[in-house]
Amino acid sequence: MKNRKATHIPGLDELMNGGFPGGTINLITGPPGSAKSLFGIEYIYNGARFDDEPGIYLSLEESRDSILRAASNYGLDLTSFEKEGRVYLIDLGKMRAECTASEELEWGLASFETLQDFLKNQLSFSGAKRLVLDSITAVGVYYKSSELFRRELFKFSRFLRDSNITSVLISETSGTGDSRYGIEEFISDSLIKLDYESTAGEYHRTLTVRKMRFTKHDPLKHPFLIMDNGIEVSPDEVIS
Amino acid sequence: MNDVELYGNLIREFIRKMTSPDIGEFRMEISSFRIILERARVQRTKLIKFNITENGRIVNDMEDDSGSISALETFLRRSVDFISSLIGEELARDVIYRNLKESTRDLIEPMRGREGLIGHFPEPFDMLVEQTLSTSVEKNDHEEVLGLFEDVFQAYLKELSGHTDLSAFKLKLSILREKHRLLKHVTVTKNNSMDFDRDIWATATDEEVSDSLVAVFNSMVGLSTFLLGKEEAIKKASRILNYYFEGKASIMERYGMEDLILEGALNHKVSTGFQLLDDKMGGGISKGSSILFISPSGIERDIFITQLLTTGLMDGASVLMVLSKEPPRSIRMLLRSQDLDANAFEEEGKLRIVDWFSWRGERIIGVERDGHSLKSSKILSNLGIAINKGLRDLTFSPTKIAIVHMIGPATNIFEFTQVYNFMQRLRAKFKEEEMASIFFLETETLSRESLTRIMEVFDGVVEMKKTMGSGKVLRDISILTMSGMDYDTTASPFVIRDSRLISIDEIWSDNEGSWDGPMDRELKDTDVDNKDHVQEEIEEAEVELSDNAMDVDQAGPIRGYPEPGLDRGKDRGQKIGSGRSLTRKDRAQSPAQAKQDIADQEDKVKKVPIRPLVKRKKKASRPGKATPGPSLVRGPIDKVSVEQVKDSRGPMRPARVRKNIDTPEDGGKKRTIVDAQKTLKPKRVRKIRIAPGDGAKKGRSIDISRLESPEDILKEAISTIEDLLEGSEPRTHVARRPPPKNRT
Repeated sequence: MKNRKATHIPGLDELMNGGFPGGTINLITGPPGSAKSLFGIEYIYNGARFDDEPGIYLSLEESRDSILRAASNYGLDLTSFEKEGRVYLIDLGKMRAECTASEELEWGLASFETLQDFLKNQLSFSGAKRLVLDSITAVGVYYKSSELFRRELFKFSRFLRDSNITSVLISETSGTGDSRYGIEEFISDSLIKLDYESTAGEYHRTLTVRKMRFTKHDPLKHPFLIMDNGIEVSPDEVIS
Repeated sequence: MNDVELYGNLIREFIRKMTSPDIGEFRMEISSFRIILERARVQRTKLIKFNITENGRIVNDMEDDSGSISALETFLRRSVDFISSLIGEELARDVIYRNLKESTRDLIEPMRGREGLIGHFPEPFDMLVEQTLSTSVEKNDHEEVLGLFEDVFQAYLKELSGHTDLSAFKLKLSILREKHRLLKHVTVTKNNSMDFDRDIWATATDEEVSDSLVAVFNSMVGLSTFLLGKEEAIKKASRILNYYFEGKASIMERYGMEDLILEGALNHKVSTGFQLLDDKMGGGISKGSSILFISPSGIERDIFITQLLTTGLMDGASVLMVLSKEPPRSIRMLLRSQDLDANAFEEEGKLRIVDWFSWRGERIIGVERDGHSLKSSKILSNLGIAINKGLRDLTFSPTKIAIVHMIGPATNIFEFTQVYNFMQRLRAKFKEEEMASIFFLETETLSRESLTRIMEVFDGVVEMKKTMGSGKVLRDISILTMSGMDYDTTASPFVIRDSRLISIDEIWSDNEGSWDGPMDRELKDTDVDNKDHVQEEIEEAEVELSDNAMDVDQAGPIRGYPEPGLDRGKDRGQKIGSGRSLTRKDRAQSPAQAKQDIADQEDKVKKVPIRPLVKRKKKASRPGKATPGPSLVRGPIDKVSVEQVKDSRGPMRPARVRKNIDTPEDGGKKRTIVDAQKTLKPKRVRKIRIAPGDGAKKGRSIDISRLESPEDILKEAISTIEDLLEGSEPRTHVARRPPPKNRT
C-alpha cells in the first residue's frame, strides 16, 4: 500500500488496492450528471482532510460558487480548507467567460500550454500533492485536430508526471465510448467510468475501474450511491 | 507498608493522574502542586519531609505517626480546594474521582482495617476509599471459577508450549494488563501454569473477574489460531472447555460467560429456537452456512420466524432481517408482543432491518436510512448495498444471524438468473461474516427446475409442510439437503402450542409428571393467540379423534414412555408413530402404575399399528367404552402453587396453575388433580380454561383479563375448581364406580 493516494470515497479504494498509485494520471469519465465533479471534489477534500495533503481543483467550466455549493450540499467545507491553504479552488472558467471566443483562442486560455505554465507556479507555491482538472473536455475544444490534441495532451501528461502530483482528469462522455475524444484514456494511467443504468424501470449509478496501471484492481461494474455525505461505492455488489 | 507510605502512594497517583490526564480531561501542572505543598508546609511543618521534585517525583521521608497523616491530609485538601477554585467544586470532585477511580483500587485495598488512616481523606477521596473497601467486603469468593480457570489455562498453556515458547502469550498478557487491572495480579509460573493473587482477585466484582478471565482465554485462542489455524484452534478450545466446564453451567451463568465463551465464540451452531429443527440439524444452523427454508405461507412460518428472531436476540446474537412482505414496524410490533423492545436492540446495534417492502408504496432513491432501518429501492444492487450497510451497522457479536425473506417477491420482478446471482453473492457475504442465515421461500413460488437450481446455492434446504385432509391439519418438517453433516432425513411432525412450534416429543416430555394427556391440553388451548384457524384445526381434530377413539386404547404402548428395547432418543419418528396416547386411566394413575399397565398391555397386543398422533384420543368421551379410572376423592387443599416454567423467550414465563388435594384411596398420597390448563401470558391471554385433572370433561373458562397477577389468577382458578368439584360428579365416574366412602 505504499505511495497510494486514497480517495477516501467509501468502497472505492477497496477496488483499487488502496487508492491511486502516487504520481499517476487518472481519468474519470461519464455522462452529464454522473457525479464526476463530486468525485473530483471529494478527492481533493478528502486528501486535505484525511491525509493532510494540499490539493488544487482547477475548474474550466463550472463556477467557483457552483462548486462550493455542490460541496457544501454533502457537508464538504471547502471554504475553511481554502483559508487554511489546504485546498486551492481555481476558477479558470471565470477568466474564460470574460473573454470572447477569439480572444480565448488567441491567448490560448484553455490550452495545455497555458495550463502548464499556470500550474508550474501554482504547484510550487501550494505544495499540492493532488490535482483535479475539470474538465479536459473544455481544453479539447481549443484544438482543431485530434492529432494536435493528442500531442499536446501527451506533453501535458509528461509535465504532470514530472511534477510528481497525483492528478484526476475529468472527461465527459456522450456516447458509448470511454472518453470524449477517444484518446484521453491512452495517456492516463487509470480510467474510472461513471455511468447510469436502467434496471426494472429504475435508474441507478454504476462505477467501473476500467484500467489501472501499476496495481491490481477490480474491473467489475459496481453500483454507487450519492448519500448525504457524498459518493458511496458498493464493492460487494456487482452489476452483471 | 506503613500508613504514611500508603497515604503518600495515593497522593503520588493523584498527582500523576492530574498532571498527565487522559486527552480532553482537566490538567494540572506539577509546579502548581509544588506551590500548594509550600503553602501547606506553613501550616504543617511535618510536610518538610514530603517533597515533589520538578519532574513530579514524590519523596516521602515522613515518620509514621498521626501528625504526618494529618499533614498529608492538609496537603490533599488544599490540592482539592485549589482545583475547585479553578473549575468549580462539583466538577473538581468529578474530575478527581473519574481520574482515580480505576487506578487507585490497588492502592486503597491495603488500607483495609487501618482505622487511623481511613477517616483522614478529604472529598472525593473518602468516597473512593469507602467504595473500594465496601465492594470487596461484599463478596470475595471467586475461588471456584479461579480454580476452574487455573486448570483450563494450565491445560491450554501445556498445549501451546508444544508449539511455542509462550513468550508471545506473555507479551499478550502484558498488553491485557493495561486494560484489565486484575491481570496485574496473575503470573505465569515456570511450569507453565498461572498463579492468581487470590487476595486481590477476591476484591473484584463478578464482571471484572469474568472480563479478565475471558480476555486471557480469548488471547489463548487467538494465539492458538495463529499457530494452528482457526479450525484446529477452535477444536482445541472446545475440547478443553468441554472437559473442564462440564456440569459447571451455574458458574458460567453467574459470571455471564456463556455467551462470551461457550455459547458464543466457540459454538459453531446457532439455535433456530425450534428445538425439533435444531435437533435435526445437529444443534442448529452452523455459523457461516445458509439455509433455504421452504414452506407455505401461514402461521407456521410466521411463528418460526418469530422464534428464530427472538431466540437469536435473547441469546445475544446480532440479527439482520431483510423484509419484503411487511414493513419494519411489523417486526417491532412482533417483538413487542413478545415483551422485547425492538428499539433497544436497534439502538444497541443488535438488530438491523433492511426494508425491501416500502418501495412498493413510496419513492425511494437508492438506499435511504429511516431511523435504524434501511430502505432500499426496488433494484437488487441497491438492496445489496442496504444489506452491506446493515451488516456494517451491526455491533460485534460472536453469533450473527441473517433472516432473509425476499426470494419469492424477487423472482416475480427480476429474471431468475439475476435473483440466482444475487443469492449467491448474499450467501458468500454471509459466509464471509460467519453468519448463520436462513432464506425463506414460499412453496410453489418457483418452478421445479428453478427450485432445484436455487437449492444448489445453499448449504442446506429445510422443508416445512402443512397438509390437510379428512378434516385435520398435519404439519411436519424435514431436511431435504444439508452439506457437511449426516442429517436426520425423516419428516417430523409438530404442532402449534401457545404460539410456538413444538415437536410432538416436546409436548410429551413437558407432560411427564403431570396427569393430563397432551392432546387434552391441545384441545383445551382454545385461545392460542386468538388464531381462529388454529382453533378450527383443533376442533376438526377433536371430531376426528372422537371417531377413532375406540381404536386407540388397544393400540399399543403409551407415547412418552419408552417402548421396551427402543432407545428414546434415537428414532423419534418411529417412537411418535408407534406410541398411543394416554388414556384416562393412564392419566389418573401414577407413572409406575402406568408403566406396569403398558407392560401388561404389550403382552396382549401382538401388533402395534402406526397411527398419526391426532387420530388418537378422546375415546373416553364415549360413555360405557371408557377405561375405568380411579375415583376422585375431594379433600382439603394441600398445596396451591403457580409453577413457573422456563421459556426461551425470557421474561415472559408461562405459569401453570395447580392444586393438590388429598386422595385417601391412595393411602393419603398427595396428588395433583387440578391443572388449569393454560399457560398464563400476561397481555395476551384473556381466558383460561380450568378443569379438574381427573379426566372428566367438565371445565369452565374464566376471564383473566381483569386480573393483575398470577396470584389473583390462582385464586380465581381455585375458586372455580372448588365450584366444579362442588357440582355434579363426572358422568363417567358415576357410571363406573360407586361413590367412595368418605364422599358426602
